[in-house]
Amino acid sequence: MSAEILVTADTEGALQAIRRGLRANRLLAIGLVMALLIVLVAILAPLLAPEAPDAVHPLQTLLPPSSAHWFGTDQLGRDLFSRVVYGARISPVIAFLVLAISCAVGIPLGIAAGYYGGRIGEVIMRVTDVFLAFPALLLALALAAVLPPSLGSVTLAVSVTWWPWYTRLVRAQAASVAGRPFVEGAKASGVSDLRILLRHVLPNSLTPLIVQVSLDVSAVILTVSALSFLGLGAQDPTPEWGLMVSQGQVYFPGQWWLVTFPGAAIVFTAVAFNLLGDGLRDVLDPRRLVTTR
Amino acid sequence: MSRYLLRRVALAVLVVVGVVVLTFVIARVIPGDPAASWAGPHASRQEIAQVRTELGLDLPLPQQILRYFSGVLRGNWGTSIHTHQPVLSDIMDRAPASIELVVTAIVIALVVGLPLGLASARWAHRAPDGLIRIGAVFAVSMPAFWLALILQLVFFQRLHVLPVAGQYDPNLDYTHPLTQYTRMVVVDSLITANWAVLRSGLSHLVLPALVVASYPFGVITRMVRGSELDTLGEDHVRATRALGFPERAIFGRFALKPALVPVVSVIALVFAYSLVNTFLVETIFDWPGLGSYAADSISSLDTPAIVGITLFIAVIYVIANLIVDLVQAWVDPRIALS
Amino acid sequence: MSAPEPRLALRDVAIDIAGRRIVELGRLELAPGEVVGLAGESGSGKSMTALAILGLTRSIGAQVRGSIRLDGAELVDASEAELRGIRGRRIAMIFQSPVSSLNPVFRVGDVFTRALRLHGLGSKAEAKDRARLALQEVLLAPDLLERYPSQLSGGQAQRVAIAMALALRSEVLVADEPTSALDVTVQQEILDLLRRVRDETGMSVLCISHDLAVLAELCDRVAVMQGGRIVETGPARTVLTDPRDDYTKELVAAVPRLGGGPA
Repeated sequence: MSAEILVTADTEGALQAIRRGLRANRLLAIGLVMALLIVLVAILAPLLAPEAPDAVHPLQTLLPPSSAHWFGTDQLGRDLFSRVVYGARISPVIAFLVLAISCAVGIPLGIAAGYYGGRIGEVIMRVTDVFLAFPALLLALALAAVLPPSLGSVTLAVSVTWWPWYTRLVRAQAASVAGRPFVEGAKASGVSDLRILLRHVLPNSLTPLIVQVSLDVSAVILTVSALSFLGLGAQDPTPEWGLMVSQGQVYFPGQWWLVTFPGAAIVFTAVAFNLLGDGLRDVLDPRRLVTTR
Repeated sequence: MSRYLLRRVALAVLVVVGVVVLTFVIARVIPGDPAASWAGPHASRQEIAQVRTELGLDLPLPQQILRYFSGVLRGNWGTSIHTHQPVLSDIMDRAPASIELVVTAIVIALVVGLPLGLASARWAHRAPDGLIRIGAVFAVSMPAFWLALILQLVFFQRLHVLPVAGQYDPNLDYTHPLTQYTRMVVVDSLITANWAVLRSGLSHLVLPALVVASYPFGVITRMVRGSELDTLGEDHVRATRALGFPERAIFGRFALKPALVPVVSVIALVFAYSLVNTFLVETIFDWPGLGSYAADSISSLDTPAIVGITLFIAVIYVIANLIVDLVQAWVDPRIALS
Repeated sequence: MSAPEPRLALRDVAIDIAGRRIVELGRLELAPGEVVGLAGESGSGKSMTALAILGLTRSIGAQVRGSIRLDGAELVDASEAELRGIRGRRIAMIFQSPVSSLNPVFRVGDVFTRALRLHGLGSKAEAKDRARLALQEVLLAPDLLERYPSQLSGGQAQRVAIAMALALRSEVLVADEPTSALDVTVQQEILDLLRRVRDETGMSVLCISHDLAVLAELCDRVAVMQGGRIVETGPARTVLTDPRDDYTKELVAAVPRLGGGPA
């Protein structure tokens, strides 16, 4: 790393870059700790929760928060704290499922479009353009609305709207790699396409993919909880946070805890992954701007 | 420039058609019988069959789509199952209230987000920057429906300062009846000089607008910060420094203008996103807009209404994008020239 | 030839970034109307030296020690306000990528006239006239002021930058790789222009380049940098045809056009 490069690449200079790295790492650290906490809660839910999430107590309905019931109880006398804790096993898992499906569909299509190009690549990109030129939330909503209400439907609906982002991202990477001399050389010397893809194209796309996926976790969690809030996703007695807010709305604002705590859990999770994604981007890929859906 | 515009319009039409086809196909492919839900729970098999023919549900799918589009072009967007009104007139009745809400929210987001984003960039990596960034992260992490309920709790139930339901105090209909031109309460009361309704309308607008503004505020703040910092690192900024311009002029003029170009494009995105967000918020605030209509359509599995709303928002979105393209081409000559 | 008072004099300039020494210059001087070349590979500290002369190293967090004098006045410890009065006005700088060094969303003339007015060179109308004249001097149509940078070629953009230095009546022009992003024919035009500007205005030029052929053609004297230090300095012809230093010899040997034949 020479001074010349420093100057031409970034007038902010090394000192500030280091300081920025530290700062980004601090945000990253906070996000990471919060995210780990959520994972831990999800894993240890049976130990942390005093009751089963669906244990009904007809004589203890709508109790305010107390030492016995930290977050109070709901209209069926279920312990809200236990339900919120078990909720950590729902939204984050759905989010990872959605992102896994989106990657599984989006990445191969992006590689096909970018590496091989041609007419197929053209068609793939036009289709993704249509998807991308539209707010994902509306499409997911429209799809979830016409599918039978369930977590499976929500997963499907959100996945359908999410894959094109990865296709576009991977396509750009694959296209830039495909044109480089060492790939042309490898092709000429008879190295198989699959090998080139695995050795060169995929590793090059990995960093931006990791950043994008970590940024997307929050967006997916918010979308899923919104769909559940509208009654299109999880159904009772599933302790899904969005659904719990929706159910508590009836008793709001008198029994404020029914809405407050599950919603706060959504915010906590979304903040955790937003910080994580932001931090990762700052550290790994500082030139990209925030994206939006 | 005009060729550029033409290409944009062509792509826009393609997007609208694509989205509607997608929604349409999925609505038709999934199990469930729209004819049965149209005819009602007590309809006979014969009646259902008749409805199916009437609605064109017995035609092959491509033909149904063509039929739908030719209807759309003639202003026939189908009939809503839950209101039994033409979908288009339902939408036209409801859209102004939503657009009023979303436009107010975007204005709030810009007025607050732009200066905060710039402050964040100005004092990058120092205390104010940290605070603003964390605030922006929270703003984009808030589920709109939850924020709506919490604000109601705080401002209405606890502080008793702001109204939480409807567009204005319905009692004013007797004392100060509002003449409707645009169906946007604030606009109508302003042009008819109906100050009582205006005051009431504004106070009713505050909470829902704040809720809808949360996400765009967060996005705009982060975008402005990132974009400004990026621009400050560019060659032309260094060249401007070498001309002796003070930091103030560089930050506020020479870096700001190019930095705003990507911010403009994000506004169209958040506009559409916010319009969809009203689906979650309007029912909570009893706001008589598209969002509560959409929520009702969704809960009653009203396919024609759902497809119609999707189409409408697609059109709005595309128009917003076109406007943004034009503004961008005006701000940044590189775009129009390429 | 009696040595005139140097217009720009660098003595024992040391530049540190994050505690690392990037540049350590013994002595570098520019007489009025003199064109001095600063040669060396990328990473040898040439550009950093250029930024230090304009006091722009602060904004990138670099530390400058030693002495940089313009007509005897010390720049190293000058205040930011003093430096702003000198940047552009007395010491102008042009860059390697001329088009991207112009702000893409401002008309060329907008920044041009603003810079003139910033340094107190006339009212709005006068500044505009002055800018038009300066463009004519560098053989460009004055209408170019109404255009955006993306509508200019690289050569045109570099001419615009030189025209700014002319209009601002700068005494020193620091040219950082002024031709390396341009086509060969355009390179020649810019070099001719720089020479003419020097002849007509007596501007001193510090030309930074890795391209010895360019320096051989343009410069009176050449200093060769390696690893942040000047390893050889002298009249251009001597240094580039009969180098003493091993590193300079390597550099010269790598350029086929040098070593006697016409450039």
